[in-house]
Amino acid sequence: MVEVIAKIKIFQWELIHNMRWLYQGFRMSVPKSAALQLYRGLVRYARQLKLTDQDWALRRIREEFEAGRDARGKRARESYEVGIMRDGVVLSNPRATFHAPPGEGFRPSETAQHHRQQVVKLVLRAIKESGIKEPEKELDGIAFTKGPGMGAPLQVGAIVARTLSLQWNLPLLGVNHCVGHIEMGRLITGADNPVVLYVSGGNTQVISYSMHKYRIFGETIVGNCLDRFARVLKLSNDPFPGYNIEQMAKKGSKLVDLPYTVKGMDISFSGILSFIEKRANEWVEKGEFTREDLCFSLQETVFSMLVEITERAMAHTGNFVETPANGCSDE
Amino acid sequence: MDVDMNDETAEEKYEEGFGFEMDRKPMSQGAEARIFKSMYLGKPSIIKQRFAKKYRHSTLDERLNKHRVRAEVKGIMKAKQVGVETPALYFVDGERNEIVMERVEGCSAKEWIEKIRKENDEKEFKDNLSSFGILLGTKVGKLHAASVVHGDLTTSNVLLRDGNPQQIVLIDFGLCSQMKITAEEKGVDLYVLERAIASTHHDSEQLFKSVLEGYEKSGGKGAKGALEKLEEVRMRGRKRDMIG
Repeated sequence: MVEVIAKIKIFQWELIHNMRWLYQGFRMSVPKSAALQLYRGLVRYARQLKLTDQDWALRRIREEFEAGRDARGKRARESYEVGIMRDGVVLSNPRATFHAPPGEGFRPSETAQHHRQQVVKLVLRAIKESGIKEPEKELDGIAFTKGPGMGAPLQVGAIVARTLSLQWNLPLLGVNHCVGHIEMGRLITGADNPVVLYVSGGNTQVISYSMHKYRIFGETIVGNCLDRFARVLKLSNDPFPGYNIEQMAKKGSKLVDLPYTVKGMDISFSGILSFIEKRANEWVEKGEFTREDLCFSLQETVFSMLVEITERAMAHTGNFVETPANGCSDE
Repeated sequence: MDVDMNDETAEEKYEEGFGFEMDRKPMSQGAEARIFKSMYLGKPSIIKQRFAKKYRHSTLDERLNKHRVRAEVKGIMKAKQVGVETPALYFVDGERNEIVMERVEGCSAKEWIEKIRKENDEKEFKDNLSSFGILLGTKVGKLHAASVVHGDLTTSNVLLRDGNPQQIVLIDFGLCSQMKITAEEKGVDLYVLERAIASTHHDSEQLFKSVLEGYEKSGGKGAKGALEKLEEVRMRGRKRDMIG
């Protein structure tokens, strides 16, 4: 049994790994034919799978393919920040943001290039703004994001942090990306042992600290749901789909009956998406619901679900503390 | 109520409403409902009240609460039919979204596990845990075989009557679904339990292992498919690369 499981894992791991290639291939704008070839290759590969559900694999491949084909609507900004803090007070926090050209996602190499150009300026500005005269003596340590994320831009941060730590002889602290966000939220809100709803472009997780670890209680991808919904309604990607959905939703009033799926502390949006994808155009044509109504209903339903799982996590851990909804500090 | 039978409006008075008052002392509050301690016709009972959530759109909220009360009642009844013990239902008030049911004396499995961890040495603890796990797995297997998925299996939703690990009472069927149940849904149900155990009790991998053992024994022909799906669901999880 163990062997079989291990095999499945390897198979799926390879599959995911290959899909990542596919995904990045589109980002980097490989020629169309090459991408198609890759896609066909993957489909052929998936058909040979014996230990994995083929339908699932094929569906995932198609999803990634489609997601890659119009990678717009994906995160279009990436920023580099340098901050100096003392005893929980932020002394300075200048940032430089890289905006991808409209209608495209950003590319790792270009982002890294941008970061390299900005980083020295930023560090100098941070030190100046915080009023620190002798960084060697006044600073206690240097922390940097060690991931997860895109390799190239992360490297910029790591190199700068390492250089500074060697030069000033200060301890170097690598911080997990998510934990960094959470700790920031905790520090600023002053919440003690909170249940966190962490929403970023690629992840939506309910997280809480328990038994010496940050643990994920439930998860889903809300960003993907909003992006795909915006595509169904052909909403603009400028500045980003979620914003446009929100603007439309403000004008909506009728609530559409959408599937509401909560399982324990996990939720799933796939039901909502396929439900809407199937019917949206028909509804709008017949005038049964307007596009504004659909946006309104989607927001009401999706956000209710998110609040509910957070609430469930609170009941589960017994922490009835105010929750800082860590509203997407990336975007 | 004192009603004059000759009075023509008497009938209307009865029709007006099925007003009832019960003594209620707040006991606890979960994520979606308040629990009150109460007596129902001389029997110790609890009132589970699903109250309106302000953060939800009122239509959506009403729909969900009604649906969950219905799901809970149906789930409890079905579970009884297939021999999984659940609290006895005394009264359902669809208007106020309240269910009056038996008060199960004892403790939750969560408390029990932490208790025996303290009281017993490691080996005894593991033995106790695995015999409990097998039994729990059997119960879940029975439910699944009868096409019921619980939807929110956690150790706090498993009660032990009089603190006896042999007498498992399942509660909180609000998220349960019935009828057309796929292997996928069963797998997710197990996955929810696995995660709940992992996040509440440390070093208790043993527990879930024995749950699966018990599950496999009892679940009939659907069990194998569900276990395979469980493997698949585990693989899904979060996006492994965090690009974008």
